[in-house]
Amino acid sequence: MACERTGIPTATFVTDSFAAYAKVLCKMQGLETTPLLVLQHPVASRPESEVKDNVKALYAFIRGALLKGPNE
Amino acid sequence: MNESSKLLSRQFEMENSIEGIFDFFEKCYDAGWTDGLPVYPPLERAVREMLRYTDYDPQEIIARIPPRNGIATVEKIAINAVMAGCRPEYLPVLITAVGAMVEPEYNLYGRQTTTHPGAHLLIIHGPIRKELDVNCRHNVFGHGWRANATMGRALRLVMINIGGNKPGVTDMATHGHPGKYSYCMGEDEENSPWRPFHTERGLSAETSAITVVCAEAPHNINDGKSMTPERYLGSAAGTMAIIGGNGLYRSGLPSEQMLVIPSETARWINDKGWSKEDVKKFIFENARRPVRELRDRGGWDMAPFAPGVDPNDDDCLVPIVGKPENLLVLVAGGDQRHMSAILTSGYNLSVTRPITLKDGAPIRSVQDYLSSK
Repeated sequence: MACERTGIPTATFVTDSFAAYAKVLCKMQGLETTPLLVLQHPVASRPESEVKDNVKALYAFIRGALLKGPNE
Repeated sequence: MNESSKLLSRQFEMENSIEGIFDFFEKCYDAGWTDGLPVYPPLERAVREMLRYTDYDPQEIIARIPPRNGIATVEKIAINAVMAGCRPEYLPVLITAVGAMVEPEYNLYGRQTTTHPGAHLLIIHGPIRKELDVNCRHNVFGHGWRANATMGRALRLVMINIGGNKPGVTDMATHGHPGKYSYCMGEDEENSPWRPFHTERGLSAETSAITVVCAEAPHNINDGKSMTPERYLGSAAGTMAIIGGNGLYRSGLPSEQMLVIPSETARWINDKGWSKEDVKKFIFENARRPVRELRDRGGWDMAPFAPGVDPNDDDCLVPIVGKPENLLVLVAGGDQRHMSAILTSGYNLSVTRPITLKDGAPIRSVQDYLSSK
């Protein structure tokens, strides 16, 4: 959120367990439409290759998040 | 406060009966205004009585509390203090503490929303401890003292009701800990052989003050056998350099870790020729683990190590803080030799503030607020 406020585009990953929390925080901070890229929880205990595959599946969304402003 | 100052908080009616009070408990819980326990009704007269112990106008803004950035006016703090069960004379402590918690180094936004089990430990210093009957000795982190129980609780209610702290919604602490109900202590200055903690922060011993530190639950260090300070404090060092703790992995960040020693052994250590600085130096040098025990576990690779630590050298010993000054050593507790390690996330620093009148003059007594009107 701090980066978005300074004009640095971000692609924010959260896991589904934290998606609602992230949306609430974005709303509280006035960045309600900040793009959130949601992965299946948990991430920390998954094999790295699986995490990479899950992220690759979101490439189009990552590109969209980086090209989209926080409140667009 | 001007006795006729207008209070602006929304008011609602409750039935003036025992049943009405019980209904009030349920209403507050259902509305999410509590820590899970019943709260006192913040009757206007109780709030006004509380506000006698400040020379701020009730609408003066003390802080914006994240993550909601709710506005903590003096009135709002007083309301939460009444709800927590505080006596009116506790208000100056709470106003000071709330103001301290929003200093940047405290990182309140991070502490309010983290998965880490940190609670806001409120430490009281100076003469006000006696005036408010703050517990500094037996069961110092436990139950039984109104001042400790309610002032710590009031801070939590401020975080909930003004800051929007809500478990599982904005507060994602995996476990949290019971200090999130109340976490408040006084330093046992009278029985300590060393200078009080707040004097290390530039205040005089006669100045009443508070320190806030976001901390994990106390971890007992039970050493009834060691006959030298080195062995005794070695037990502390071994406990504080815990593999699952954040300190070892965050030593390159501005971070602190804390040790509470009872006066009995503080005096014994002092009699052996050790100063508080010697204690800090020993802990800094001995609360360490080799890189090989930390690699690829815990918080590995998530933050820089302290200067001088080579993460490629498996034998390199990693400290829990970046320098001895970042070890907080306080004297508190009852008899016997138990110590408490109070560890932190490593992502925040403590803040110490004097308790003052609005013009910045340190108070001599909470009665100063009554005589200032």
